[in-house]
Amino acid sequence: MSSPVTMPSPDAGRPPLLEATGLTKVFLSGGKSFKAVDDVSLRIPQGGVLGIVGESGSGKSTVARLVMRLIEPTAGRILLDGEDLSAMSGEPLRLVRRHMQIVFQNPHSALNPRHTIRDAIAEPFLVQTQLRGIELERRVDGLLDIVSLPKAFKYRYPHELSGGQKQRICIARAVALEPRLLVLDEPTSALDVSVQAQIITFLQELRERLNLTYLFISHNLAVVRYLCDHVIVMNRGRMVEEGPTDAVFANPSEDYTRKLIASIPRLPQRAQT
Amino acid sequence: MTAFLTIEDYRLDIPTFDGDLKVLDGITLSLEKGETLGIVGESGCGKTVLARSILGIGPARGKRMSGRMVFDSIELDELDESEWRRIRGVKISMIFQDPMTYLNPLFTIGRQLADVVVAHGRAKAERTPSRDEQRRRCDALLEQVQIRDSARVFDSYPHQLSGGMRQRVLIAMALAGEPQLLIADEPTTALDVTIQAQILELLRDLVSRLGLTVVMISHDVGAIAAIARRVAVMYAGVVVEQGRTEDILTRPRHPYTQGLLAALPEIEGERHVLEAIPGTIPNLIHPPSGCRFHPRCPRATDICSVEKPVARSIGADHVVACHHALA
Amino acid sequence: MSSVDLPAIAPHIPGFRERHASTIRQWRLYAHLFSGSFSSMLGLGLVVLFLILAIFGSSLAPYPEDTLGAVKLGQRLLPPSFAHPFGTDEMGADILSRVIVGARTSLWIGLVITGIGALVGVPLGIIAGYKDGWVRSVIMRITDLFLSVPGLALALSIVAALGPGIMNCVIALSIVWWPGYVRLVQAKTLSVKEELYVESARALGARTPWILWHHILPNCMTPIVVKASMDMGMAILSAASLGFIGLGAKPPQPEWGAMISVARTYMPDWWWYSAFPGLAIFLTVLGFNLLGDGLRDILDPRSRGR
Repeated sequence: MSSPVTMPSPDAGRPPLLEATGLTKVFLSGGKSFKAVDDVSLRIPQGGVLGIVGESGSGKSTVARLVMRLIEPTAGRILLDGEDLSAMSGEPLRLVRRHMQIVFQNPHSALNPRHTIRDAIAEPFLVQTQLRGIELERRVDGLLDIVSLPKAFKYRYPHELSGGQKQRICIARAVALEPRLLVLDEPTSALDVSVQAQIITFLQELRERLNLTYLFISHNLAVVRYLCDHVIVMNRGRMVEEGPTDAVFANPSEDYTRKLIASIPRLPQRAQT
Repeated sequence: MTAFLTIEDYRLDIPTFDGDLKVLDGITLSLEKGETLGIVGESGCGKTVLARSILGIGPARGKRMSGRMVFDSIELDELDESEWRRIRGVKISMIFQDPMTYLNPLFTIGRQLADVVVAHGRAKAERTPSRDEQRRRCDALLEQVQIRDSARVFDSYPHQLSGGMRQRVLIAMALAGEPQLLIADEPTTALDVTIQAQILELLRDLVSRLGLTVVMISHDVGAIAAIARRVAVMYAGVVVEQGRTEDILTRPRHPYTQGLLAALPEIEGERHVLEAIPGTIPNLIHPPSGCRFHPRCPRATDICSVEKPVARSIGADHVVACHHALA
Repeated sequence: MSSVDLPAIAPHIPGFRERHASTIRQWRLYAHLFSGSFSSMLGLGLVVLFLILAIFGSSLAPYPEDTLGAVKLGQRLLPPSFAHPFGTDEMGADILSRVIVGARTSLWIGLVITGIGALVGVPLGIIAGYKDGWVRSVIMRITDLFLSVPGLALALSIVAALGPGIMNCVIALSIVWWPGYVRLVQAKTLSVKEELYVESARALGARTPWILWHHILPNCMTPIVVKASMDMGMAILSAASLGFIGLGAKPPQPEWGAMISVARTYMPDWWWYSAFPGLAIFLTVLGFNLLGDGLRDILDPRSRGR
């Protein structure tokens, strides 16, 4: 069993890379208010992988967007490496974005259909750095290498690529600026299982290679079990349970978690091949 | 026992600007009455095209190149549109992945369900049932899909129901014509796991109570395993392996089936290393020669790129289309 | 982070054909779909014919001097014949020559009105769609104000204030033309800005002008191109209408609307005088409309990747 991440002895003295406390988001629509996220707190140490699982409407994707400051929290604080993101806005917030990136669930709509793959991968450099010309092309090639796609893809359009290939492009964009935190919002949910396995394995490698920290959002408990060392279970905007992944899956302490795990159809055990 | 639904060497092309997409390449399947067959495969393998072709609602520009489909001794490929109307919804019904798109948001569930009931009455040349009679039949249908508060559901609009409820309503509509064959195209894919488990339970219950024959299409091996007695695994328009669910899942013989199962993360037990199948699904305009899986296959040899493997029986009710099917 | 270090080799930059293979295929697909539709091809044919006339008109006209106000009283109001296929007018000028040369006036009018309309309307529409709050309210209320008055009636009063003439006519129509683009582009922007790739660009730290230029505008182009094509026809028709009631071009400048305006006093006995300029307007407007319809069909995203 991998060591639980809340109490990692080597990290004990260091502040976590990401710390969020009391995150709350209330959406207003038609005069009615709806609490999508209610008092969620989380911390991820440098190099850790925290999973958030929950069903639709649990608020897990809202947490991802709050952490990324893509939507304004109603209450709560977000600290990235000790810096208070919740107090930031405008240009400082724009500049801090290079340290945290997000990969979305649906790679089919996360890429501009009118941009070539080269444009998509070059965009982070164009908006955040002064890198241009031949150096930029070289970086784009390097990123295609990292996500194991052929260079010939540079001049293709997204609709010519498969879902898995598009998701690799999205990951290339996200890691282009060498962020410290990568938020993965259901990155494999729109993909087939064999492609999902490729992406999960790839994400594991990438984390070690680039020294990344992951916040991994998913409704798929099995995937979370493979990738995360610590997990939060959410239901209706609230945290139901949290703990080291293996402990939560083996010994869920809440009824909701138990029900969630029991609902997953089991396969008969395969004979060894 | 004679087969209830037989598909023989079915080949379908879809013409496109870049050439003909060879979406189905010699599908052979059979299904007995009261049986549940799962068709599992990844996107683009042709499972949905196949399912829709059974109901005569395949791709509009699709061309059948060879083969036939026989249902209950009816040659499905020779039916015209008026004959189809006496089959669809009456003998064969279908439910879909996203129930919301198949319900009209402007009318109540009761109204839409009653419309279906009346339409089926008309098809059987009955006189239009009275209001009370319609209501009674609708309630019976809702009860069949285990909707307990049928009065509330009856007066609700689609958006007021949860995804699971909507799928139940859709199943009720599909049952209105008392079909013998139900085709379920990814019926649980859009649902949360807890709801998914309930819908699968409902389908199992309908099979045993009504003696329905079911063809369930899914990319989710788990959902298929929960419901199907027999499984057919599709890859790039070909059924690569079929047989009893238990056999296929515990002793897969085709390299693709093995790869698919090895790629599944598991919720309990030892965490094996996830093995991805290298490469991507082929372009079906120019499909690989010979075995369509050979460019990605770990066991491929010279013969695989030359000769299309013939489906052969390798055990009681276990058929594999592979030159190198391992024991 | 050593792993993201630059590869030592030079970047991979293939030749033009390889770089643009996708684009070339896309255009071939467009051409294939477009050529499959009779009405689209008819529209394209009419528009091409109109453009040829507009560009080479003065050298194609059989009697170029007739378009500059030559008076040939000896051949007044001759019916269509071999020498004058469209007949002659009350000054003895060849109507065919005047119709051909009138094409350039019409093209110019259409381009300027549509161009100004789009140049003013598209940026306002994008801003109104992307920004919330008072910016949107101000832009959209002013747009509504313009849209609530019939365009031609408004243009009429503007021309009346500025004085008749083709230039004033174009100015007036440009003033009433842009609100249509604001409405169209604002609606499209509202849907495009919800797309995941826009959120993705925001997450990268892209500034608003970058997002508007690189993500919103390119994805709003389809309806803009279609509307611009149809508007070419409508603008020509509107300018002709102003010409017809005597507020546009003044004779002897050959302009179709003004020609019909003069010709209506010669109806019905000298029918060819009004019929041929009328036919020219009809075919031009029809051509641009069919072209617009055809473009809408092929640019429909459902035809992509087919």
